[in-house]
Amino acid sequence: MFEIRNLSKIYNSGVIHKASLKAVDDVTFSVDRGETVGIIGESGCGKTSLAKMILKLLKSSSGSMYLNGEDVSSIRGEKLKSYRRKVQIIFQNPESSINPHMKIYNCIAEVLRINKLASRKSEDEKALINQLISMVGLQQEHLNRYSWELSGGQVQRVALARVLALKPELLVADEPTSMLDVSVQAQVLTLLRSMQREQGFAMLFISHDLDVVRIMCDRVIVMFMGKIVESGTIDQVFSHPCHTYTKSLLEEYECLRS
Amino acid sequence: MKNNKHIIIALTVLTAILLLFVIASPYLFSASYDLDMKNALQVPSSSHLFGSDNLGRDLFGRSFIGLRLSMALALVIQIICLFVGAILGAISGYYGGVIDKAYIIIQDVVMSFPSLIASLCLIAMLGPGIYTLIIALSCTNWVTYARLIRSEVVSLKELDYIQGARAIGASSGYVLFRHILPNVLRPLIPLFTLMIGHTVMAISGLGFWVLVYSRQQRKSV
Amino acid sequence: MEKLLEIKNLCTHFDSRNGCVNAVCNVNMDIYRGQIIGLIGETGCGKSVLGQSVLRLLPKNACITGKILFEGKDILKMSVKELRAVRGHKIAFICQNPAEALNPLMKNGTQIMESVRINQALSKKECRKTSIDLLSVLGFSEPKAIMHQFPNELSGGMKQRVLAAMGMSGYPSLLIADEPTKGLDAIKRGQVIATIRKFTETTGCAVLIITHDLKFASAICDTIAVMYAGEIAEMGDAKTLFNDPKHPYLMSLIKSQPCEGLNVLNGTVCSLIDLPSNCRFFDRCSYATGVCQDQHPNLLTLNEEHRVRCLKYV
Repeated sequence: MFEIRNLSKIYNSGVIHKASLKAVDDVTFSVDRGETVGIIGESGCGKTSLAKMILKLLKSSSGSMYLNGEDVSSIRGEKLKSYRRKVQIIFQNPESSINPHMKIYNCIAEVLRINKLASRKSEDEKALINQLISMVGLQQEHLNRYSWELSGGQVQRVALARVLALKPELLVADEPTSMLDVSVQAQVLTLLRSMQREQGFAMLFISHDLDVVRIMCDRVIVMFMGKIVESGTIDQVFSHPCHTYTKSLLEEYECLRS
Repeated sequence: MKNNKHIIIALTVLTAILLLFVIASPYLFSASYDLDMKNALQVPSSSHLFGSDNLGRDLFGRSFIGLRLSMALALVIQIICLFVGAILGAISGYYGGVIDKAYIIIQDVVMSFPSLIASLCLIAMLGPGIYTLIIALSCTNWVTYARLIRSEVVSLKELDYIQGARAIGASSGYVLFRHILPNVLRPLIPLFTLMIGHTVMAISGLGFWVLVYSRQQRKSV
Repeated sequence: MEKLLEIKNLCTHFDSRNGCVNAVCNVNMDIYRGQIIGLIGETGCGKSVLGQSVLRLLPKNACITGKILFEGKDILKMSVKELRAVRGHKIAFICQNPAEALNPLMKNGTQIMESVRINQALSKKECRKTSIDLLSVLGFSEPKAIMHQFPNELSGGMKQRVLAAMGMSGYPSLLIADEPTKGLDAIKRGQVIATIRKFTETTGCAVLIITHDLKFASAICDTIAVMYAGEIAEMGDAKTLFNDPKHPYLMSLIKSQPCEGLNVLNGTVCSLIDLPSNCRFFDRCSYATGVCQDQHPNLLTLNEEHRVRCLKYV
């Protein structure tokens, strides 16, 4: 359904001593409908750059992307807007993923208004927001609060409600639970899974926690220094790692388990 | 939040007093128009807080009357600067790339001239008058705001909620006005108040060089 | 083993606009020399506050009562001068974020040497030597090169070790590490474990680790205390605690880990402002009975090593 071919992102810096950094280097993979693909790798390996390029928040240096067979590498205007309705993201840090100056109600209403799903302050809008908020397990009283009055898990739920309003086809989750406690992480992950089952979106799950990837994903991609060094189903990669980086990652992981 | 309330009350009271004083000053200090040659060039005393000038007029009252026009002008100039600076700074910071580079060149050119001398040249070119003064000082002062706003926008635009707003399909204008500018306002307010004082000084400086006011207005400075 | 730190009936509360926040209630804990002790719990359970209370690093609206005896002396009664002699010299603190804890404008070497010089009266040359030794103890293969680099040239795990070197420079007898693994992947987590182990082995220093990462805690700690809503819920030897958890909170916490099946623990922690008079875990507990509704449990001693705060075991 969604496909990336030879995608690269190169950052150039310096005027005299020109240096270029390949944040994402020649990445190719695809995601099928309803499938969850995990991306693991250390911090700074280009996971987040990749996510931003998929969302078209960052221009790619080269390569192409396809959604449902259509080339979306250089779309603009209305086409871009409709693409963004289909591909959505959840960020890592609950402290910065919601505008602190806006009430939760407005945060969710914003999504509906921009995409013309409901007119401003109409009954429709209220009903839709109430439906979304109960879907992610929040109460109506939360709507009148600000993001800093909620806990990290609750903010991630709000972020999920915003995303679900658009009924996306692909959801990019950029380490959605790495800042959360174990019990809250369990709550958010199960919510994410049940929403996926309900709405059938595909998910690209970025994480550095092997446990989480193992339980959430069907397939996994290992990134190292901007490159894909290994990919395959969870069983393949976890039981028969090939690349040295994956091996050492799994070694440490097994070491902690025992 | 609690502290904020105190600050707001204090500020309102202060501004109210200042405004009242400035607006009512011609009536309060009407005596300072009168010549009183016997008491010319006095040192500060209880009857003349700032002393008196060579024609025996009360300098304290005259300062306030003069401040009236200068304050009003400074406010107008700073509001213009704020708008121009906010728009240019936000656009260049948000879009980046070529626009940003072009903007930086303009900013550097404007900033490399001492602002008072640049305004002086502009007034000399355009001819003296209040409108010229407004144009001249606006042309040199907007950079201060633009610089601050640009740097704020550059750091803000990488935040997740800004990126998130773009990801849900919001247009650039919407993101700028709904998400970015409200966050930039915080550091702008103190700068705005500081710049008003700065502009009052600039206006009086230019006034000293007889480049600003017509004869009638100059009398009050 | 010799008792190094003795925490007796420690309570810490903050006066806030909405009322008194009871962050830590009646905590008793002993730390012995050379021991690695873990403090685990979720956000807002008071574990960081407890760590900061020990060094009196809290803001002014905090009120600490009880006793914190360090080598027999009560930290809470020390003068500012005595306290300064303890901080850094005898008790070192590694804060949460290694990225922000180093000055980006100073070379790593300068920063380490600075802390060496504060703690030991040495000449510049000796300082340099000590710093290099410290870095090589912590597993840097080229300590001299690291000394000349700036913090931004290091990875997160390396920064952590540079910070550890600074903490070690005074050869402290207690090290408090607040969330040393936040945001680190498996490999770097392994490095942190190795670093802390090496540190205790070479200096015989006791370590208090504050974390919410259960796996990390179980891998490194000898003793673990689990905190819930400001109280110690369960305390004991790390192995027994994870193999045979007694408190329903710890049981469900272990079960909610992804590798244990991601079983959701519903509900939220009770507010620390108006604390219930019954068991604080009552609302979320699946074993709760009528007794739990009326009574606040005390910390029960199951055996020498294992204590639990639950009425189930009365």
